[in-house]
Amino acid sequence: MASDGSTASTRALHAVVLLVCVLSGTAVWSEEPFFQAAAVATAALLLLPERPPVLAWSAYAALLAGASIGLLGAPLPAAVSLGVGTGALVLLLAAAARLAESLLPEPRLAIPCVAVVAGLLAMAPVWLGPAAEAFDWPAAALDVLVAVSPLSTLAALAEVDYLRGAWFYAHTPVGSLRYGYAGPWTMSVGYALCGALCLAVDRVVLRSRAAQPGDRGKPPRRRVT
Amino acid sequence: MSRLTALAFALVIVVAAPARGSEEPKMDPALRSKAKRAIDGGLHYLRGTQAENGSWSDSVGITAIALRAYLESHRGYSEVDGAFISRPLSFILAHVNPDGSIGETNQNRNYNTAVSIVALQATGNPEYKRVVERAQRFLAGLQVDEGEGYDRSHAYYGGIGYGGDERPDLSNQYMAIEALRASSFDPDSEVWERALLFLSRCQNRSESNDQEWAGNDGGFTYMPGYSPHGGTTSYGGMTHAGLISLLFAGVDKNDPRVRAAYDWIRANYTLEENPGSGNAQGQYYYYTVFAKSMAAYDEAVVVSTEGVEHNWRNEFAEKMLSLQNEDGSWVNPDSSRWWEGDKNLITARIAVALNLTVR
Repeated sequence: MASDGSTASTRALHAVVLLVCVLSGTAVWSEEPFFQAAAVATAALLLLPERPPVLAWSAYAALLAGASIGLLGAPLPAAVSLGVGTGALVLLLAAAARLAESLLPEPRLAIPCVAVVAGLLAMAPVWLGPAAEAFDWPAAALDVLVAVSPLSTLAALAEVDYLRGAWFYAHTPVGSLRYGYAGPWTMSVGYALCGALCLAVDRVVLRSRAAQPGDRGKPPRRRVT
Repeated sequence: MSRLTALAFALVIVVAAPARGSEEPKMDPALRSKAKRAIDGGLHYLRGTQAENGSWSDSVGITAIALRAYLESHRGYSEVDGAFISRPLSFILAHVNPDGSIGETNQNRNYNTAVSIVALQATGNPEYKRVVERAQRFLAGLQVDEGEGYDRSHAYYGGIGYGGDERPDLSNQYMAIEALRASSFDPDSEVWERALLFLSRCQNRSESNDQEWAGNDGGFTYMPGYSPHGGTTSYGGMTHAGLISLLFAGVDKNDPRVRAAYDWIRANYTLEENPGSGNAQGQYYYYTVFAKSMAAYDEAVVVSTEGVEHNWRNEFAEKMLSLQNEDGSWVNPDSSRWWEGDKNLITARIAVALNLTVR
């Protein structure tokens, strides 16, 4: 599955670690399937191999999310929806990581950078919520604030209003304001398209480098593992 | 004047005097007239902001509250009065979902369904009986119980939340109880007993609240162990919501839980703020539940802990008159939290509250 020599055993190890993450996330956070999907997406990002095979990795995450959520008792339609949504999200994350690896002077920082951005977006309703309330953001702006969080897409797929759940309600005023969730499939398709865009840009970057003489034309450096 | 006539006259005075005293008006008549005009102003504002399809703010919940304001007003509006009543009804009915809930989204399903039940019930039209019954069942199904894997010892047990997850709170609980009461839900249902258990766990009264954090001021907090205003502070909005819930769930006025809540209200009587909140958040929610709970408690005068007598109807009407905008609307100018920046919602809510006040 992974390029440059990832073996079947490392893939199996990834699968085991991912599953442990899912189960840990379930036990620690909530029985809500959308948290389980979020746990899979997080694990899939943190365990990305170098120069990740984006499509295969996202399909892998989709299958794992759908299967584990189904095995943990969610109805089949919810498990399938969340599996597909998780796959689309992981596709974007993996593609962004791949692009970052090409662009950053230090490729090892690609995954941490993508993880930080994803984390900031996921928690946007928490850290931007007070500003939204204080400056009386219009409904459309609030909708955007909610939509930028990948958690919102997974929650919408699971039909859960997570911003009014106990933790989020206590930590952000967004739950007490008027907002709506973007269509879950719209967001999932959007993630997939953004991921495709990242891959396209990555290819352009690599080609332009290959066309240049000297060090600039070399492929990106590999992470030291 | 003959002796007989004088005697008869005296008798009439003696007999009439106590009767006149017992019928002392609950509200100053001049103020009642002004309050009715304020209601008219609010309803006039709402007519101006009503959408072509009869809705307000593109929301089933706000539409239902505005519709209730019309139906319960001193004008006695009904479905035969025109499209401004029949269209919002159609809008609400167009959003009846297969699961019995009423609403345009998966969010706020409890609120939207509850206020829709109250509005449909206020029409007095038996045609809506089936819709109301299904909506009742939906609300009852939201209650956290064994079906969701909770046992009686859990703090959430018996509570009802937004309907988007399993976290219950007193605000949602009171809306559901108000709807079930308004639509004469089965008084023998276990829903009431379970609801009372949850209510007891929201009250700062350790004698009836088995939670460790429980204080003893008799007021209510948002949910077991949490108040948006910090810690487990009792505050006005929730204490009035708690009082409404207790009374509508069938608890007697002399029950110690009711008396404790009423004592908190007496100790914190004010219309200047949502007491206990420390800010303007939820101020108009407070006004609404204040009028609802005082109307349900049905005492004309509230004697504060300091011994000051408050005719709550007069004072509430005066306060609402002072807050009404020139266009007839009301809105919270200081905080949009809990949708209080929406003029349609706040105007409808205050009109409902004033309707109860001038009755």
